Amino acid sequence: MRPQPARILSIEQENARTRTYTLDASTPAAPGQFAMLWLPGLDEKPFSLLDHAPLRFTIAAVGPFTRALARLAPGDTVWWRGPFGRPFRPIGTDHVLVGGGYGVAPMLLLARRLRAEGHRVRSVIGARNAEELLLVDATRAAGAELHLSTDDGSAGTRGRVTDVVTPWLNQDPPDTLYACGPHPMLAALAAACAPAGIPAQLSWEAYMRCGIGICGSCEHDGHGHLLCADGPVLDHPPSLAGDPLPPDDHGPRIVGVGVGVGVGAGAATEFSTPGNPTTTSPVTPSAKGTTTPTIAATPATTAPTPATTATPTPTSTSTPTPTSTPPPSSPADGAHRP
Amino acid sequence: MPPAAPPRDDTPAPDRGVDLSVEIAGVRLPNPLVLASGILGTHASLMERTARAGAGAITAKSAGPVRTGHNNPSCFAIEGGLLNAIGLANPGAAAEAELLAETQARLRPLGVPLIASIFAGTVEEFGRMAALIAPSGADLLEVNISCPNVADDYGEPFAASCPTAAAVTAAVRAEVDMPLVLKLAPNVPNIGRIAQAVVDAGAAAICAVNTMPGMVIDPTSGQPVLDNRSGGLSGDALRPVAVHAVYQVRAAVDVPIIGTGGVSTAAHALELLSAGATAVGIGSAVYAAGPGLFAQVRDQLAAWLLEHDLTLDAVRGRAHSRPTPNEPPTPAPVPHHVPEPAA
Ligand SMILES: Cc1cc2nc3c(=O)[nH]c(=O)nc-3n(C[C@H](O)[C@H](O)[C@H](O)COP(=O)(O)OP(=O)(O)OC[C@H]3O[C@@H](n4cnc5c(N)ncnc54)[C@H](O)[C@@H]3O)c2cc1C
Ligand SMILES: Cc1cc2nc3c(=O)[nH]c(=O)nc-3n(C[C@H](O)[C@H](O)[C@H](O)COP(=O)(O)O)c2cc1C
Ligand code: FES
Repeated sequence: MRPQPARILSIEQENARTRTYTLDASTPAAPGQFAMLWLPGLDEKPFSLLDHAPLRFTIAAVGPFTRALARLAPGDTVWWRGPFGRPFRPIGTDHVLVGGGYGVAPMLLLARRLRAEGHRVRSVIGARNAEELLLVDATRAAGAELHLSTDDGSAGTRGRVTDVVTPWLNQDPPDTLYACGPHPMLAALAAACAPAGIPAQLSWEAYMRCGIGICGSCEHDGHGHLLCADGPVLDHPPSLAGDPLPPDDHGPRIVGVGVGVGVGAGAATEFSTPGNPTTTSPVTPSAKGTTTPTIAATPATTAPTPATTATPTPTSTSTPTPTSTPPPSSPADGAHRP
Repeated sequence: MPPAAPPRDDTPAPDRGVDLSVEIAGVRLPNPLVLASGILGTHASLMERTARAGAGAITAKSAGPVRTGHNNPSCFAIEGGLLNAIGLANPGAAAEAELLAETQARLRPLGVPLIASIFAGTVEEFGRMAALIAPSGADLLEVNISCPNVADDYGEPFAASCPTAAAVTAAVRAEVDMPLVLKLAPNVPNIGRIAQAVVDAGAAAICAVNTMPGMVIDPTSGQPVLDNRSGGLSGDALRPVAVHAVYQVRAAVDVPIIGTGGVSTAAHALELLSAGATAVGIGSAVYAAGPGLFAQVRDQLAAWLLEHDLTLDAVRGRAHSRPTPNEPPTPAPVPHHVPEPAA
């Protein structure tokens, strides 16, 4: 899809340099997915979805683009395309969610979805100090068991999020840990989860250009993972025992579930079909041997995805061979294009 | 009565010995599907991944003088394709040579050849870039004289005229022994003449085509969406342009052609092969399907050849000879005479 214009409906100041923007647009999406925001003449940058119906983003002003966003007011227009990337894929019914800095944004959407399913959710929010903590009230309101940590001890536990989480991993282990935040935080969490045998789903960042898995800019780990298409959420340890390379034999990749973007066949394992709000299967075996429905992408109320249109395949006209069995067409042909 | 179709059988085609291998300038490809330049060609890991996913050859992202590339938006999907102006972001030819050497070490055990790609701003610079890339051990050297995504001083002029295209080819030829693939632009009056000029100057193969210049304007702001304002159109919309270009090149020269543009199915690949291509580039389609597309198209192609009892050799260039039916051709329909209404 090309960037779509949307009005800013409202802006909330979260702390000195972070604001939450609510747009006059919606899209089906799942927690952990992101969108590219564009300001004409300036740049286009990736941001996690805080919510999808309507679209909401929590954005820290750190450089030219995010500072330009910070100068906008309700009524102004921003452009977006997405959602992109593989979302969180919840396993089990007992979850630990960790957000550091603006990494709290996707964790809040995930917490809401998991609580709506009646699951146990422990949310950990970390920052340098109390002033930098984000989305604390909203996370509490979502019904999560809330735990705070600050480097200076000005709120919650003094220290790092790992100081909060590590004791749980043996004493009261969750089925899965999910996290988004600075890379050192993610690496520390991966290192803590590994010996306890807790699967972790971690959302990483890399420089993004296309956002749709072809330019190679967001290669992440030397194993050929593209964060915009195979991520941003990656499994730790990688789900492929023995082969560090991503699997390319499971059909079309997810290219988003947004307006004007078709849902690939491969998406069926993680998303319900947009327009079918009640679908929560298929089920994924949980780490504790129970099964639990995966979180379905909730259809947007204001911007339903048009039915994917299959472009007719050029077929039997092409060969002079009289046995005109049509040349085979890939399932990717047309059906998954915007 | 059409002859009976060959018996069907569900064994995967490759096991049943359909030979999909092709040769380009003495380099053997296990199948004709080539990863196009600029798609996933930035990292050794991604090129290895794509080779494992079934590609028959891998083209690296074009390298030349160091460039950071254009600002975003630099690539997005539109109806029928992609528009991009990545701007030849690359780490420079010297760093590229190291990347290529690492990639080659990963690809060799897989039997998948590596095609290096270079661009430059002047004829002499093309020669220097080629000399930097040559020690990398890549199997073929693609010379990108056709990128529409850099300002006037780069790209387009070289592919747009016979003398400049030939001059670049000769300059690179003088520097390196590797077989050269010249990558041509679709937006020229007669691509066959350009192909003839570069083959006369030493090109061993042709890649046709690069993207078509294009622009998308956001109707709300009135601004071009690409930060570079214009860019290159690829994907489905480019396919008829690519098929025609390959047809013209095949009519003009007798060297292997890597037909590239809008391929996402075996049916599309068959179009380019029938137009005269020896191999088929795939780029934009990776967006919707992921690298797994290569194995899919490869297996579909093998199954189709088996079913129609044809070989790649038999398919190549079929479009250049008309079928000879038994029946005399049907005469063109005579238009009905519509009497003029009486005044
Ligand atoms: C998947 C993903 C989700 C993100 N979600 C959020 C979010 O919810 N809230 C938020 O405040 N920030 C988020 N970010 C980070 C955000 O993209 C950067 O802060 C923003 O691009 C900075 O741009 P700038 O011009 O303001 O600053 P710059 O000075 O240009 O950049 C500051 C830093 O941002 C990063 N960055 C810059 N450009 C890009 C790019 N094109 N792609 C990726 N990273 C870039 C780099 O690490 C850079 O050092 C996310 C990034 C990714 C990859
Ligand atoms: C994002 C992107 C980047 C590209 N970069 C290059 C490049 O660096 N060098 C080059 O010769 N061609 C480049 N191309 C052109 C492709 O190699 C190919 O010729 C063209 O996209 C048509 O094939 P397709 O329709 O299968 O994508 C690029 C194309 C895209 C979409
Ligand atoms: S940003 Fe282009 S491949 Fe991920």
